[in-house]
Amino acid sequence: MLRTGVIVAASVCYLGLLFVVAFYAERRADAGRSLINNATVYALSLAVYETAWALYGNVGGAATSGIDFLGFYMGPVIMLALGWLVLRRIIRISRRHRVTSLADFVSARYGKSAVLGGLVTVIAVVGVVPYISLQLKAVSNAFEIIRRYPEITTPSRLGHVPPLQDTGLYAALLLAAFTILFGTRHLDTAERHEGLVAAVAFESVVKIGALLAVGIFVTFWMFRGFDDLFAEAAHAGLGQLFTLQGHTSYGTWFWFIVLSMLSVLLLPRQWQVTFVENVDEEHLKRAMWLFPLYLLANTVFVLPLAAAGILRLGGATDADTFVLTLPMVEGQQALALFVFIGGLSAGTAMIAVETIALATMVSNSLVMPLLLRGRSRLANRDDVTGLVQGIRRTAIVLILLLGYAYFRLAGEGHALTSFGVVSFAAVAQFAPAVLGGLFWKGGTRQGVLVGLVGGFAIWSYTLLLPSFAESGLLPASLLREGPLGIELLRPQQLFGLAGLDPTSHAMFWSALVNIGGYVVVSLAGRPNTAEQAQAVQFVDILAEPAGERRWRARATVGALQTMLERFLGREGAERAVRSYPGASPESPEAAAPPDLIHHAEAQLSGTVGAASARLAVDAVVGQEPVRTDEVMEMIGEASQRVELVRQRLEFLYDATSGIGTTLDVTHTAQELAQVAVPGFADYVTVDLAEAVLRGDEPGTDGGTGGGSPRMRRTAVSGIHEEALPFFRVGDLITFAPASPPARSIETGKAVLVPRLRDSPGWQAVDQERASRILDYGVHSYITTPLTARGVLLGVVHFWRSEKPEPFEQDDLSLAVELAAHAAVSLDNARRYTREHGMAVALQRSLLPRALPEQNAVEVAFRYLPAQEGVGGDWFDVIPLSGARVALVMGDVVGHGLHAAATMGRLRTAVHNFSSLDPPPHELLSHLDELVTVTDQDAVAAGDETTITGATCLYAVYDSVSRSCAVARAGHLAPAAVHPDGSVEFLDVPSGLPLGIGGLPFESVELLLPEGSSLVLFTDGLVERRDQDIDTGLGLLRETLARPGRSPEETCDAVLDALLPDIQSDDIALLVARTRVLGAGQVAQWDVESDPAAVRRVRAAVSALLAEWELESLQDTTELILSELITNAMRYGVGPIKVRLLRDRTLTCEVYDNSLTSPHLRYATTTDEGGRGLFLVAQLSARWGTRYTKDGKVIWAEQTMPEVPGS
Amino acid sequence: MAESPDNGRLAGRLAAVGALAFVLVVPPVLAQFDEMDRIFGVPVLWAYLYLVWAAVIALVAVIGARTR
Repeated sequence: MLRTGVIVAASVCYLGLLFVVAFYAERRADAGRSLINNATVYALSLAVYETAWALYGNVGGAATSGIDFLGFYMGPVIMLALGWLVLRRIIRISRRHRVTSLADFVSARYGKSAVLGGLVTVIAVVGVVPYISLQLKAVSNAFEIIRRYPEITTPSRLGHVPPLQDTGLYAALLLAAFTILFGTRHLDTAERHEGLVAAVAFESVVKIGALLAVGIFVTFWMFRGFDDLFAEAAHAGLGQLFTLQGHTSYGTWFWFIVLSMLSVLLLPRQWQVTFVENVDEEHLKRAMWLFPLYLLANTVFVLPLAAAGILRLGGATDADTFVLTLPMVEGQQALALFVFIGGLSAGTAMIAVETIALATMVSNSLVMPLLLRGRSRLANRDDVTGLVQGIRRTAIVLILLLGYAYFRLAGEGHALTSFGVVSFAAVAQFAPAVLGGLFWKGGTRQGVLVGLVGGFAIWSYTLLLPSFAESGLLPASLLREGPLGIELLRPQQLFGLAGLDPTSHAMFWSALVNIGGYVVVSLAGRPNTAEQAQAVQFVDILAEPAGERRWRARATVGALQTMLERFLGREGAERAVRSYPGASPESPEAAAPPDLIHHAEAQLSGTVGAASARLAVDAVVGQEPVRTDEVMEMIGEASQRVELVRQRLEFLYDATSGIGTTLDVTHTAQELAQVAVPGFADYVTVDLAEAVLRGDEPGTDGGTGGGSPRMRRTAVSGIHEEALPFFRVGDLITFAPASPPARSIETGKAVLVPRLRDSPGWQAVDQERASRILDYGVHSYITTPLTARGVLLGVVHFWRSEKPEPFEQDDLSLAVELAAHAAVSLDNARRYTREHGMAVALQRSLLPRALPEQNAVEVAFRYLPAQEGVGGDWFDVIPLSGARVALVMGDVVGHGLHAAATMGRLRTAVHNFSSLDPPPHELLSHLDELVTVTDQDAVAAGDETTITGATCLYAVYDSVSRSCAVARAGHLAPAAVHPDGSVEFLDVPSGLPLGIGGLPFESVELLLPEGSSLVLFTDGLVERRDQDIDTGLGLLRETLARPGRSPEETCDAVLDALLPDIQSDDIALLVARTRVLGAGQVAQWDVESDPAAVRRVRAAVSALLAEWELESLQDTTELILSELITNAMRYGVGPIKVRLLRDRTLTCEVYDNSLTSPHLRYATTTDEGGRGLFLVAQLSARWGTRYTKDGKVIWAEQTMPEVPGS
Repeated sequence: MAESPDNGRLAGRLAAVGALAFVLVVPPVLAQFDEMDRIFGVPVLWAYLYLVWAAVIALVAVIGARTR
């Protein structure tokens, strides 16, 4: 039965079974019903402590040195009893700080030192390799022995085989493959391996089953129970095996206990199953007794088996193989195979877990830190997973090959069994760093470094070196005489310390150096901030949240309040105390009830964090003295927070001062996009509602009436410009209902998508665009609505691509603050845009768009509103009777709608007054009166803005007489450009601005040669903040001094020369070039007061009209003139004059010296007269009266007939 | 440090059991049983060590179960 093929087949079947168990466990884990979330499974997985070496070698050890192997089991029992004190802390720390290996733990505890992690890894690998080689030897020896059945072979007789025929090599390779398959199929951030743990627990059952089966078979089948067996053994002189004295010193025993205590904690595989793979710390409660019980069952037959082996097999057989050979000599093939499988089980479990733990350490604490240091680009690599997997797998293979090499080199010697102790001693070197780190806050990185290096050096020198020497790899003289014959340095009697067995000797020295170095160096230095912070985190890991603490100490309400004020400010402290639900304290001197103290601590912890709150309350309540290191940490934490807050404030300050520098909506959006790059985000895009861009009030949903929000991309900014994957500026965007922007618009809250790749919802909205954005490297996203006064203006999106860290919650609030500020600026800009637009529209509607037709002057004008708002400048050109024209220029104080509206009123008033055709000073008086009355009304109505201060210039030009009458009310005097190009600012009395009253206005009359230009303007043209008005006037004079320019050209030239860069006031400019009505177009007759004269005039007019080719108007003109002359003769005074003007119209004028005004009467049928004016009104297009210096003129205009070709 | 009183008490009691076990399995107590005699047919030291072992297991199990 026990042929090689069968054995191999059974082994393979068994390993296959392990895979089934592992896969089943992982399937269960994926389904959420974890198999290993069970205290018993946890306890069984701890039994990975029992190795193949223990299975075979314990019996061998017991056969030579008796009961002392039990020392290795006393330690675990004691350590497990201390589990709640020690193990639970490490479990918690591992969970909370994501510690995944022993090296990780030491490194994290001492300020996250990479050096320490690497050192621990190296020591662990060097220390544990002999142990692994032991497993290989055990498994391969067992195989070699069992396949030679029925022959009983002794391993030492197997002889030296070449590597390729060596079972050990194949065992190593097989186990490497097994481990890789088990342990590195996928990466888990917690480095947990559900399947592996389940398999290990299963293996624990198999191996104890095998050992119990053999033990029971031997004890109760081959012998008649324990007493029979022990009696026979005693009889055979094996009694010394039952004691320690005589062969094992108590010192060795003591060190066995200590070493095994530490090993069950510090061996990499134990660390892995106990801490890393732990699912629930409650499981520890059962493991604390179940695991020792397992060990008990595992060892109870070891001594009987050893005794039985010696009794039945004698000294010829290697005692290490008794477990296997005892069933074999009895012919129990199945049992022997079962034992072999048990040993295989123990070996595979141990090697798998050990190498996985070591490989994790090698990759995480040794290789990766080196790679990350050397090639910083690695940090940005997307897929480090593959790299890590590769490193782990390589490490597993290398560790196993190292174990095999050690087995080949040193394994032939008899010292193999002592290798276990060597490994134990190696990992024991971690004890000061780990246990010290758990309970003592004073340990420093330097201390650990010194202690570990020293301890490891001593271990190498006093344990590893001698093991090589005993194996024959080094000359034995090294042990006897010391290196180079220096006796003082003999490895096993270092510095002359004799009388101790090698283990005690090595442990004494290494413990002395290690603990001594750790403590002394730690005490000599000071932990730095990082070490302190970690020390507090680790040592105080079991500290419960603040709320569960009961305060018994006394403190006054006043003291508590003062403390709160220090942290929260006066108002905050009052709020905190007011929010206390219990009865409010009567006076500050009253003792604070415990609940109030709790309440204060809870309030405080919301602001400064739980730990700081605890310390602060401690300080007041005086229950516990505040320790210096805790205060240090508190200060460190607080200053970090302050620094962070300061940085954020600084950024926000810089950013917000960069937003809203103008009142332009688009520009403000661009500023928002720019300030956040690159300090906060790598790309920023801003979308605004259409209405906002127009300056209109958007609806709360962006002005879409409840549909999906539509926005226009207004600004894009980023660290790169080219080929951006986002919408371009100007694109119209409709947000899909479930997309983050739509959600943020709907809720009004910012939406954070820390990892876009993990956000299927975002990607689903627009797969193509999403993948383009992802491909561009963008990985993190915040979108914030821009709302002001509860109105949605748009959304802003922040993207990160090159900054590796995703957006966090803190970033979200920063984005919200930034958006809030930007929204206010945007809203201001929008409102300004709207008001500005309205005022401009109003002003434009009030100002003349096209000037009325008239021939007296040739006019050109310009109006330029101010940049910051509409002003009150206005101007007008009003045709008057008698080929005259009125030119008006005015300026209302102030800007904006009020000024524009006032201007409109004044302009209308001037229009109305001008129809009465008063002389300019009289018209200004009327206007002044109007303004005064209006202002009185306004003041009475409580209106603050008045018109007073408005200025006006009124000029009337007569194109027949070439005279120009000008009056002004505080306005700038006009310039007259004579045909020769000389410029003159007309000397017109300034007058007071309108509404002030007092001084009368005065008209000045002057003659202008034909082709002179009158230039009317407002102060905006010539007045600057930075220059005197005379400078402006001088410049204007220079500009105007060119002969022969048309008014349009003059306007252009003036604006070119005088338009300021920043136009703070509006500008109105009116240029009128005078024309003269030629002698051929004017006719005049003096009429004596004689009815006969009328006929004469009629004849003359008739002849003139024929000459002017206006025969069609002869009849009506004669009729009109005769009526007007008759009236003048009947009612008027003094010489009568008749004038005909042929201009755009045919104007008949009748002058007399009376000041009485004719008025239209509707004559009744019985009236004799009174029909004249009525007739005139019927016949003429316009008629009217105006007053001259010495009388009045009645005029009537007739439309000229259409002249073909004219 | 402040932690739930139950857990603190449990850790303390179990630590005491561990300390007791340690004292019992090292000299000088151990030396009292380190002899070749047999008791109930089994070696004295062997019996003693397993007795201590079993007692520790029982104590840990009982203490652990009571403070739940």
